[in-house]
Amino acid sequence: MPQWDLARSDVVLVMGSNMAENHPIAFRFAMQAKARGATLIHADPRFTRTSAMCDLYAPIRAGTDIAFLGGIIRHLLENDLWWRDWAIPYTNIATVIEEGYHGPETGDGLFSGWNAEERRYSSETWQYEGQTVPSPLAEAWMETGGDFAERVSSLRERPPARDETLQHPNCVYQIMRRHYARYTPEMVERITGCPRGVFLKVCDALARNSGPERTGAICYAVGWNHHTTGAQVIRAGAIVQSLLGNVGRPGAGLLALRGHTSIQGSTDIATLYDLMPGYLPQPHALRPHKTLADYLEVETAPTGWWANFPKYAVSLLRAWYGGEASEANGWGYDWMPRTVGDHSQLPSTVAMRDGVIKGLFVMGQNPVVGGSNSRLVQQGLARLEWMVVRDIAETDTATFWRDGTLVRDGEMRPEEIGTEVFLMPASLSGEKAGSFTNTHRLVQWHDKVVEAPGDSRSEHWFVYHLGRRLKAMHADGGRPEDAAIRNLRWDYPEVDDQGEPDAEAILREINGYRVADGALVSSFQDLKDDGSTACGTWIYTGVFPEEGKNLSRSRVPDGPNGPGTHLGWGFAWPANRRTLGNRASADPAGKPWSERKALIRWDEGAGEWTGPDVPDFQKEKRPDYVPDWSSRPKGMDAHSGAEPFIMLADGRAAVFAPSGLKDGPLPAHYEPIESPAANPLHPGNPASPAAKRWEQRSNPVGDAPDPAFPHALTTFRLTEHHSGGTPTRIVPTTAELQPEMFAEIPTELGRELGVRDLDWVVVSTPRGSIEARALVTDRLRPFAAEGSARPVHQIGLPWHFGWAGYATGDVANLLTAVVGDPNTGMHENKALACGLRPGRLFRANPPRTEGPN
Amino acid sequence: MDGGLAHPRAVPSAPGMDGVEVPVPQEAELTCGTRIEPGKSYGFFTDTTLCIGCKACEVACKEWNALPADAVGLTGHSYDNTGALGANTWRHVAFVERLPGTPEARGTEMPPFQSNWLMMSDVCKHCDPAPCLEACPTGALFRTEFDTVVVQQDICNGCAYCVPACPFGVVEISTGDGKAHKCTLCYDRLKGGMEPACAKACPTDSIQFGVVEELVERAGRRVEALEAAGQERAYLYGAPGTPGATNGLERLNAFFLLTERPEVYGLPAAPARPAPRARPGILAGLAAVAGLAAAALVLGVGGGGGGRR
Amino acid sequence: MTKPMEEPWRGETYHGRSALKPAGFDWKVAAYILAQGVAGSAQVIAGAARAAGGADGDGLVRRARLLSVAGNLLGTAVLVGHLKTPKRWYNMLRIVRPQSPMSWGSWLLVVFGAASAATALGELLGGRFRWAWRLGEAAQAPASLAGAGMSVYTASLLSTTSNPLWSAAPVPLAAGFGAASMANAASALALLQRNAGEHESARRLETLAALAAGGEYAAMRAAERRWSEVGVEAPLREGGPKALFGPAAKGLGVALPVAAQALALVSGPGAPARDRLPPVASLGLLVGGFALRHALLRAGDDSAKRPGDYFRAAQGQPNRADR
Repeated sequence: MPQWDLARSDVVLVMGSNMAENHPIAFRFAMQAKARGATLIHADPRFTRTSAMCDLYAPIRAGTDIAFLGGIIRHLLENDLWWRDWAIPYTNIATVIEEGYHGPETGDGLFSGWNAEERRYSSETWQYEGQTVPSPLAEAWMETGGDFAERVSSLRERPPARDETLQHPNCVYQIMRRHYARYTPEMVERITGCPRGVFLKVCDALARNSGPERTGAICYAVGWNHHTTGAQVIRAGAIVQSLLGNVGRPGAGLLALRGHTSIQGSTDIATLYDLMPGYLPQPHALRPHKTLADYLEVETAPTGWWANFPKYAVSLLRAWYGGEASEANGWGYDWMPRTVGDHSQLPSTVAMRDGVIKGLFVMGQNPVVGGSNSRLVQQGLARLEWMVVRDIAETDTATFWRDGTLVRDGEMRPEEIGTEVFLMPASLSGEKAGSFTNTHRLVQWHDKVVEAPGDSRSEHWFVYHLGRRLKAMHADGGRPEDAAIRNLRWDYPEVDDQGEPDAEAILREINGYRVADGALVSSFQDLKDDGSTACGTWIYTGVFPEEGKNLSRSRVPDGPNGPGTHLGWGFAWPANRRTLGNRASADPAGKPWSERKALIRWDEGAGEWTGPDVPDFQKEKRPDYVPDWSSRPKGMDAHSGAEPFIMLADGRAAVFAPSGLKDGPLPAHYEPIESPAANPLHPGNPASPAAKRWEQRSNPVGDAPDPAFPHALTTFRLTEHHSGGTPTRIVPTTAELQPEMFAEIPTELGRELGVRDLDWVVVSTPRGSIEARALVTDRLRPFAAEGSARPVHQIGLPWHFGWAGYATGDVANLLTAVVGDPNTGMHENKALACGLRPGRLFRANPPRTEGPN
Repeated sequence: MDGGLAHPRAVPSAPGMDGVEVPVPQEAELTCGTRIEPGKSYGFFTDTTLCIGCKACEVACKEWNALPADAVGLTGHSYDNTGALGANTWRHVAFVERLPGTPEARGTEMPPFQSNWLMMSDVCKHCDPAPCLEACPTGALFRTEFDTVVVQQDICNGCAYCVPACPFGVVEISTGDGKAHKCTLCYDRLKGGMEPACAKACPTDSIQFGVVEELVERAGRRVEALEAAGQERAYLYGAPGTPGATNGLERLNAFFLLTERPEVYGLPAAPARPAPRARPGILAGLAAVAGLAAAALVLGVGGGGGGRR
Repeated sequence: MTKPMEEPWRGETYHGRSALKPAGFDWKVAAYILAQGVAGSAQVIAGAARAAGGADGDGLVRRARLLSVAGNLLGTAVLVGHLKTPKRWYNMLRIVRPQSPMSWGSWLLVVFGAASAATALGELLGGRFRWAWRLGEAAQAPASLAGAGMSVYTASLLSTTSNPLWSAAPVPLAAGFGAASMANAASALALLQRNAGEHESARRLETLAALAAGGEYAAMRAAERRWSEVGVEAPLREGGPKALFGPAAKGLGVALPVAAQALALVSGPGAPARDRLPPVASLGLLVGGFALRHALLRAGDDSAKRPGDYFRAAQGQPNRADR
């Protein structure tokens, strides 16, 4: 959903996000909703500037989000407050699951399919009865035993088994009731610490604002992601919204607030190691991806929109490879590098520490401040041969060898660190042309308005010229990798004397074109799998539909009395759709659920879907269309006209996820890996059994509640600073607003320890200790916690600080651990256990003081 | 948009995009729906119930006006590391934590638009009449064509009399250049038809810029809307006839919507215009001197000298 | 639910931070107030002496006129010195601001300075040039009138601010400053007269000084009562201002002169103390006069830093100018 659509919500739950502080512009629209009478709710371990704006604040101990959301799910199901008319047709709540499935409530925290030896799940028993469902995510292929492509093709034979009376004991509804039966308000209070009265008020506000006339939105950010259960927390939120009918409708949705200006864009265009642009899976050496044909066969879903996958994959290859690319070598597929495992940031950090990775480019990141277990990160950097840091200032990462923790603590001396560091000046956004893709997939162009100072250059310039030099190096080599680089297309026109590549040329390539004549394509429906089209990112197709028409430049708002979809403002992928799944804003017959919440509708006369938004549905598909199963329908033909979600194999929202998740089809509450509290739901498996762990000497990880670390710790950001701090700690006018590191501690703990505002305290975890000044505040509180006789105090640490710039202080991430979510590899910096004492630390080499004074 | 949040920023089409058919409007018309013309009164309505404490106003102000950092340091006063308005700080966001209730439940509920963590962006009030201006012996402080109060930096000689005159502790002499400094309500921007930097940067329209009379009307509607929504503690501070506009201060051109007593935000309940105190004082003093002069005559101070000449 | 303004103020402040800025008026300003008070009141006394008539007063008038010029020059110098941008002192004369005692003061200073200079010219050249003598005599009335203004306007300058202490008692403060100026000028002139051997004249001046000091004491007592009433007196009860206001201003400026004069009186005619003690009293009055002004300036700055004092004083009573 667009952020501005929040203004049309009747209830907004902000959870896992400090939205007012970290997304103040988007929060503007939540404030508009509030002005129109909406209820604003904030659930968070800390009372923040967001809580201050809300009608209800639900305090929860860090890391207990699923207990809270699970409690909401139970409350909706048991009190019949969910919206049956919407959820039964539009979700898989009536679908029948394999008989062999059992949930963690009977397995002491383990779902069926657990392989204790390999510590991972097999998802066979999670499937629809008699059918294997491919994941709607990038990796369609799963290890299921047998021929995957053959198994999933059963989806073309019949619709999944459903019981719309919800009586079948293994239909999703009954499974969910059993799964969440123990998540009572009492249990929610026991686990999260949120008083049950407050919890029930939250439930009530959500339930009250559901139905044909009303909608609610949930906004989340990395407060949900940064857990070993991060993907499941988000799933739990999605289930709540699916039960309430808050998908695809005005003022409804689950809004992922992205942390950086274009972090959405960098996910779309593939900064993640396992994705290619447009969410296509990276070929993997250990999967049946040997040839292009193999790859396409196993990664193409038989039903739903992803059946078009080959068109996008081949068009991407056509955009990337010229030279000798041909149908015979899979349009260059054979030259593509394969992944062999998890190459995400956490294991890469460990690999640096272990001397496997020799060189590193750091661009727009400050890993010694932002990376988990900063000491491990710095040890890794110290073992590199070379590191290139491109940034707007000398970052903490660039100076780790001089001012870093290892040097400060006397572990290493600068002359012992062999890493050759290259610091390259980078330009800021106003100093270069390009686009931002924001949280709601809106692509907005920006022009260059001033020259960058000195030798600063854009990322385009750097990567383009790096690529040219690499191509020159490999121009004559005879090895396969030489050909891989030699045959890359790398021919962007340069627009100035510095050799800046034309940013719009890059956008045209992303948009896609016909290979024969270079004519731009206007829709991804025009892309082909025969090599006749090239497209850099299929979901962006249409952003540049014809020469001279860069829609991301468009700036025409609807005006105060317009429909509010602002189709003339920028370009939202895909196909300029503003609200995904908007078919669900109409009932199965194609009529809006209510005029107040109307978005698109079936126009019988015109024979098409119409409305102020671009329909996220086949434009001319009748609502009463039913697949002809005798013809083994493929792709969209296998979806009826009343199955609204085109990207899913069965067209229905997956409240139960048969595929795509490595830690269970339904979210269950697990404590953080390091938690001060026990798990009353399944004491045998208190933390996520499938979580990724990389324990080693530099990364010790605690387990059971440890009396040395009796408090709950969370890290957070402040509105005054940007993530790693580089853009704000070097600027005096922002640095002075939050001038140094501090620790937020509850009033009760301050009283107990005799700690007052601005006193020094030391915070410790198994990785080490840091010191900070105390802010003793009522905004944090002690929580009663399972298995702990004493209340667990919630501690909060901002993680912006380091040694560079004017606003400095200890790196909070010296405390965090390298552990990860099994699905995403995301770290768990939002919830861990810590100790705290008054006082300071001994420093072998006290930090240099630098400041405006 | 309803609820007093109207920000008629959106216009049916962006003028000037397709050929220049309409005269290029004043930017302020686009950003805040206000046309800036000499002869009208302009000011700020700061609605503290909308403030999220992001301090964008502080940064926008310092950046536009090229003010140096004060580097106050960590204060321990909640998230306020700015402290106070001063020569180099023309917007200051105040933070007051007031979380009622037991440890488990404290701060969990709030009446509508009442925060358990008050935030308020303070600024020069551009009083009418303005005590600093009335105190200024050089005319460096003057009332502009926009009814705002500005220090002319080429006139001020640093006599500092405006400093104690200000009932809000706003004006300060810079230790750098020895002149009085305070918010100019972005006089230069107003001349260029632009909304002041702080108001333009405010993401929630807590700071609203406009014609004072219109703002007062809008603020009155906002108070009514809040009362209707159950927030009955909302009141205006500095609008005509309200607290803050007291004792000879007719109105504050930068006025506020508050939900707690003014002192909680560091504001006096009933500030006074100092000027009326001048005359009674001097008359009493002159009377004393006159009385003593008469006594001198009676005592014959001219006598007893021997008359040597 | 009530509006917050309907509830009583319970002493809340914003983190105890000051809500006002201290003026930062330093010893130079205290010295200015004293010097201009002496200069101004000296002309008042000169005027009175002239009005009383008779050549007996010529010496006093001469010394008073010269003293006022000296005081005026010194005062102006320290005043310009206190400006943070002194080279722009002349901007004080750009405008006339009737609401601003600082502006009055600037113009008073000009008028008084010119009139005083004219009277001094009459003294210095009157013997040789008739026109100079006439000028000096003609300037006496304006000099006396402006001198009266110079003696008291500084009190008005302090009370016409938002400072809780200064602004709470404008009437007693100005009466006190006026009386103090007269006492200081009379004391200074008494010293000069004694130095010139005009003991009888000095005694009359000392009597005037005692009367004025009594008036000052009464006025400042009234001011103190008012400060207690409003609740802003604390800064005068602690730290440096306490020492200045108590031992220095009251001890040297009131108790010592009273004691010295009383001793002189009881010591009987002809005793050495009769002529030696009064100058001690006069000096005490001058030092005490400086201490009083400096105490008030210092305490005023402290007062500005006490948000509770300000908020207490600004609790919505009617305009305090009436009191």
